[in-house]
Amino acid sequence: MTNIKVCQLEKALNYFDYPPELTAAEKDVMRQRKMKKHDVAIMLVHWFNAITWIFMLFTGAALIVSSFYKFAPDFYINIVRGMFETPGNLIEFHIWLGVIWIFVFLAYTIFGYRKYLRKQSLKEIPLKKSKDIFDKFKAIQCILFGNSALCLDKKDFLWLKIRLLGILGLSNEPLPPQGSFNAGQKLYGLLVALMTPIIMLTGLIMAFHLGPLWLIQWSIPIHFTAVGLVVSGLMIHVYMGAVFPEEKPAFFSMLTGNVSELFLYKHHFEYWKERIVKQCEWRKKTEPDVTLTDILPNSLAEKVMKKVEEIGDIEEEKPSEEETLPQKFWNPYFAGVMLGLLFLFTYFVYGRGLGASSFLSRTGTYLWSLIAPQYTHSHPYWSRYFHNGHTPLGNFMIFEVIGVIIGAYWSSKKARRAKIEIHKGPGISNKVRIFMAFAGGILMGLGARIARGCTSGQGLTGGVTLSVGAWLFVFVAIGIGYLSAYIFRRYWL
Amino acid sequence: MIAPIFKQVTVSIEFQYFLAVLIGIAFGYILERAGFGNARKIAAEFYFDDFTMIKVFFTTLMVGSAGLLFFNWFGWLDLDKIFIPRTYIWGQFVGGAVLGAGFGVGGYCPGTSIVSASSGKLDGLAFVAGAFVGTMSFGDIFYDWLKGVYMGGAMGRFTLPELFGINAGVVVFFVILMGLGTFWIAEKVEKGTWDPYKKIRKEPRKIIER
Repeated sequence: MTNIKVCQLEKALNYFDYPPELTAAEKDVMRQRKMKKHDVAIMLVHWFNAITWIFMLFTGAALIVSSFYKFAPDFYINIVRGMFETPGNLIEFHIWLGVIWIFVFLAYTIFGYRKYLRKQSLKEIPLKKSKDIFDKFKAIQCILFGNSALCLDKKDFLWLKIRLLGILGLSNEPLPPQGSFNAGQKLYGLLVALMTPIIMLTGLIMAFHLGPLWLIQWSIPIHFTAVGLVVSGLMIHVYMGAVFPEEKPAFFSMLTGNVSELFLYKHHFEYWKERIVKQCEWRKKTEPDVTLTDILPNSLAEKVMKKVEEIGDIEEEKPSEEETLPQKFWNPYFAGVMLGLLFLFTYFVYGRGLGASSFLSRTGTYLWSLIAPQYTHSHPYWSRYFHNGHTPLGNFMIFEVIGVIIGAYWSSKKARRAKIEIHKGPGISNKVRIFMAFAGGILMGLGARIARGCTSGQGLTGGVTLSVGAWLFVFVAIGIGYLSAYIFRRYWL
Repeated sequence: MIAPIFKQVTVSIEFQYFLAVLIGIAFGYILERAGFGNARKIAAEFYFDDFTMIKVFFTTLMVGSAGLLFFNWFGWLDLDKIFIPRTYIWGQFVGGAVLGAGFGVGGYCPGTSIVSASSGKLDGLAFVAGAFVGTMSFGDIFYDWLKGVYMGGAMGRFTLPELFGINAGVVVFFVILMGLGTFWIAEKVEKGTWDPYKKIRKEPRKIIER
């Protein structure tokens, strides 16, 4: 094993389109070995959904009494109504269970989407690359789910065809191997994902009379049609999961979260391959002398070994540049809009702008006051921070800058820019750069005090409020900035 | 008028400080994402290769000034109750000049140096230390000497509409026009080949993207 690279194994496994036959003993070993398929959260959501649907269908069918839509027999409607005593209770039960269902699903979507569904970002989805209709369809689904394991592709339609013909006894072709979900599950998933929001929305419109009359009236048939579509899929889903003998382990996996390796091997061969590669990667790290036969059955291990020898030595794939380099900076206009909105928010709430430099003078004065309180309290400039019993640290600016430190560190950490380094022009040494930065800081600190604020506190805050002095300050600072940059050009270029 | 909210309703000082920290986090986050933790990116502004700073600056001014005006028109925000920096012509003129000189020397401004130091840049840290010394020197050393300049040209709360005697909306319109014009020039120069510093560059001219 130590002489096989993970990528070699991956490539060798991909030569097998269909699961090779195993001996009975090997099958037994595989049947004993369990693999985790579902998270606890997913199982909880699944069973919550199942129970809610049972109750909703049960009460919903009894709610439809208008002769145009009615499909349940009268005695059923009477029994259910009898159980709830009044029709009003029945409607309230249906509505409030529906509202709870919507809340749980909203919470699941908001908190669970990134964890359980979204495995790829929008950028990775090949939207425009292919003209093939199947690829386009897949890309649209990937935008919806953000996870290619859930999207139907060309192979899946072949699976559906063979599966259907197989059930009808017209074909005995082997099914194309499947990923973690088979095509039927994916198709049903797509149907549910499209219909659920419609059911929720029309249900809310009907229950709380949101919108004009025509909208409420149209909601009724749309609600029924959407539910009908889901139910038609639900029948197959329940039949496949609970009754159809071949898919039995899938049903139990929804209770325990685990499924036997043999089931994955036979029914989700593509997914099994992924799991084996991951297992190999992980076991190679923890047990250096693990062999291929520890992971795969003997007969299969032999076949894979042969393939590996055929492939020969290949390079381990390196993580792409995009994953190791710092992230790109934001588009400046976007950053500007965000900053503008932040200023507006601050003005809206506090009636003031943002700043930075007075953090330094306030902390400095505070430190001074610890050493020489007499001096600071009677000083013509520093005493301003003690007016009316105020303290230099008890100010918006202090807390805002503490936030800036946190926010800047958080952002740089996230963008892989947080590291100890020195930014400087190519022609100067680190020592010179540090000295220049210190000197520039002195000028900046002094200038900010003379002007009553720095680029943020005077330039931006005064700029958005159209203060005459601030606009003068901005133009002078930029103008002198260009002049000063010209003088110090050899330090930067 | 419901805003400024904290001047209309009483809110505990702890909550005000807590929200200030959150606003600061957003401020630091946006500045870092814009690239202001990088002195070379800021300095590149002055050498005509990367106009990020001016673009962010003017976009903020456009959004902010137009937004305040709209808030007032909608009857949400009372502009008489918000803080507008007072105008002291000489103080802002001289202060702006000294601060501008610091840009070329140090490459940061106080806010961005804090951002830079927070992400581990030692030059940013040195700059913050320098800014601290400079700030304190104003009160401790130069105050008597600079008092005339600091207080010079006091005009109080004085805004551009008052200066030109026109409606604030017209002023904001011109601010937006000026911003768009600046963006147009900045994009032209960034993409073009005009480069007054061509001869002394040791590295090719480029926009710092990461």
